[in-house]
Amino acid sequence: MSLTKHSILLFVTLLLSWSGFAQISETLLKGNDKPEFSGNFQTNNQFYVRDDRIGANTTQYLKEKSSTDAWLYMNYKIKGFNFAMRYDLFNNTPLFNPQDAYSNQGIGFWQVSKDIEKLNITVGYIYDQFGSGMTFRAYEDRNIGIDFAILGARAIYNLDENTRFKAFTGKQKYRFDARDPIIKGVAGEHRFIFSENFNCEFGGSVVNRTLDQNTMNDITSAINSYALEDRFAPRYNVYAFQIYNTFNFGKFSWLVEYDYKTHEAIMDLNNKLFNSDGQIFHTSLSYSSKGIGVNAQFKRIEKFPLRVSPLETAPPPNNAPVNYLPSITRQNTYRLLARYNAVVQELGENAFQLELTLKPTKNTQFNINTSLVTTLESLNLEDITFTYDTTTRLFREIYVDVQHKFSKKFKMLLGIQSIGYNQATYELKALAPFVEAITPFGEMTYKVTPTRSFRFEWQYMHTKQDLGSFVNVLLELNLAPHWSFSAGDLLNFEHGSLNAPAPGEDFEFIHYFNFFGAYTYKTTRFTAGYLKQPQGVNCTGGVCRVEPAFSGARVGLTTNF
Amino acid sequence: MRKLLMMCLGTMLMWAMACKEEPPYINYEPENVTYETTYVDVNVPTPEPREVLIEDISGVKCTNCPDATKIINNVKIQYPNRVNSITNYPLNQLDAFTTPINQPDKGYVSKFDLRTAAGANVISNYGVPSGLPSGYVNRKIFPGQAYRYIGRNEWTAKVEYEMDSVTPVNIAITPSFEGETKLNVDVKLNFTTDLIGDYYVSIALLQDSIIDVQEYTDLNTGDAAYDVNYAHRHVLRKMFTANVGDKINSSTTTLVRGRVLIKRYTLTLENEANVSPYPPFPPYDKKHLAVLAFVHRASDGVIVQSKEIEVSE
Repeated sequence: MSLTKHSILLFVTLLLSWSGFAQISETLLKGNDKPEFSGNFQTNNQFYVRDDRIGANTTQYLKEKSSTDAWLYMNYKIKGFNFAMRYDLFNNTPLFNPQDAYSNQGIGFWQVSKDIEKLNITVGYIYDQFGSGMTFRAYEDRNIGIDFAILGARAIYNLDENTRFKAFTGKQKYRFDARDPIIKGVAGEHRFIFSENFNCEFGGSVVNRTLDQNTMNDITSAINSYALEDRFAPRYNVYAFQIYNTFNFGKFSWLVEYDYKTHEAIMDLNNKLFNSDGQIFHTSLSYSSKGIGVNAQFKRIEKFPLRVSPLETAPPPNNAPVNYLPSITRQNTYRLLARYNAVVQELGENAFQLELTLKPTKNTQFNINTSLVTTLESLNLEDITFTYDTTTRLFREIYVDVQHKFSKKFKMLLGIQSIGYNQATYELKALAPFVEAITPFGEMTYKVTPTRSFRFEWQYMHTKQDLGSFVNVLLELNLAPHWSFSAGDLLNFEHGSLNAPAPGEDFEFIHYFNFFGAYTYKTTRFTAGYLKQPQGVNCTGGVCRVEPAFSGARVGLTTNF
Repeated sequence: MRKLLMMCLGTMLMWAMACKEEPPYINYEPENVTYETTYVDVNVPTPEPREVLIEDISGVKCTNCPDATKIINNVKIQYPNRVNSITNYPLNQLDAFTTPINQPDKGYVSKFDLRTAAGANVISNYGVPSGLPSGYVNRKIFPGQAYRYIGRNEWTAKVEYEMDSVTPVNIAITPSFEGETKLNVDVKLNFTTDLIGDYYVSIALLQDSIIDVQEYTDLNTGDAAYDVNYAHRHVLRKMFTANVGDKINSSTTTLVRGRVLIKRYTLTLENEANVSPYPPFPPYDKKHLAVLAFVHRASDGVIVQSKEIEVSE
């Protein structure tokens, strides 16, 4: 019987159970035992208008012409039980593979959970993470097609308010099925309180992934086809260990984390397996006081891909990671500032970040951020030397902004960003040159009345590489509490190295217009927009994927109940 | 708190103790290929009749295994030249059935050790049955089945199921002795349709009619009995290729219609010493040697064609 059929049977059982519980609740339950039903619904609908000039010509533009994604989530709580379920629908969606149209629907998530004093047990699909997530993270980011839930069982034991233990086992969700390898893990956390100003949060975890025989057969087949000197015995089991500690001392906070992964077959950039262990060292030092905040971070990753199978090499969201390696570079929100992102290099990188926030007056704030990412080889730990050159550079960013509130009605932000981006590495475009871009930007907000405001943002990105220079403007009108409108244009006015016109021809401006409207009523929000967007790396919550260009209309609905 | 910590430490210790594992099969031996060529022929032959392979996983202590051999013989009679078989006595797997018989008090002691590491590698990859006899038919997971291995009573039906499928590759094998101990096998693979994905060729040396003791079920009494003159059929002795096959295609050798691939594999047949306390491996008997070649698809492990031929002295 397929997993979907299992899920439907279970869902029917759950519904029956719920109705039974509901009847009981009418007569027996009082006060805090009152049952609680809640949920939400989200749908995204896209209509595709082909535009060959920007590369908007994947299958949906040629054949299907529209796509729908929808999620209905329901949650029912009663007497320490929690029942949750989500119905997922995908019609011709490019969400999982931008080159493909995927259609399916069914129960994409269900969960039964029960609190028994200090113990919580959960079966079904589980979202969770250990510590920072660098050895284990099961999470969902539906807007970029990610759903790495674990289908299995979990127990959490809260010994006291400072101590917690967790254990789980299961398989990773894959659309409406599950991948075959087994993942399991245990974790513990404890907070030591030494004084009012001094405490530390200590934790550790072990995660184990066991390959199934079919996956191992594929791995051994690949290894047996290599030259004799490149062959090795792969392992069914990989173990990832994590230990971390955060010292909080007055206004200072210092995090130290070390992760180690035992030997396993991992894939290099040429899609060839090799045998290696891996490790991560991460430290972060923060100081926060009135008017000033400082944070410095360093992270070194050495051969730390931790996947459900080493053969899962498809780009996100299909790469089946067991863990999550967050980027320590700044997560930008403005459109052109977020165009180039430092996707974490699992096989190896050194990353540095320094962030400074200054607030000299109540109405003025400065944000300064700089980050640098280099190849593993750039930092020689034996003689402590650091090399930054064209062979080791991956990413660098310098960001400065200043925000000032001139009056209750008007505030403004101005800033500048300088980026260096190794497009050949991050987007696997072998011949793409290193992108150097500088982007001044600004934002102004003017409140006409307490419920009506205008917001205007602009960015000008100058680069001679990639698709060249862009300017982006956006005007937004907010009519609280119901309406919001915006119109903007992203203009590609100067070509770069990847879209140079043919000799003798002039580069034609490319407009990426966008028009957007939203209507909100209580907990329901309708959105509609028409837009064009260039291809690029889209990052949400630190998870990035390369997306093709988009041209067309988007209509959405979200509601909570 | 202390108890919980002890429990956690204990769990981790048990985990650590359990982390030693048996590695999968990796072939560290160089290929026994002494000649190789490939080309695309515009004259594509018609696909030859499908030949089905039964891999009989067997043991000298398996009382019903002689019955499995009878079933194979019957299906071979029913479909002449369309069914091939190999009897796999795996080493260090299913020991209760496969270790040599050693009952000197009753007068039953195996003269030979029929087990091979190659056989063990195959079942490690394709599924170890919980009991014997069991086997694979074309290494396929049939509709309604959860595993590749199936009981002997299902073999005939599965052979019939497979018989009508069309093979994408014609196989020709020509074994020949060079001197006393060197055995060459020329294999020619002729692809009659375009294929995508990876394909592997396996070539096995089989030895028929090895006379040695076998446990069986006495039909009169229903008890286990021993046949000291039992003829073990189609016994896997050695692999010319890697134990789970050599990859055929590569970035330069795509499996297009008309692709011809010719390889010569060479093995030196010398008796190898066995480890104590087990009896020796059987000597190679030139009168009863056969070569079996088959091609399997990597994506699902299914054997798409097989061919068996006896070795003439």
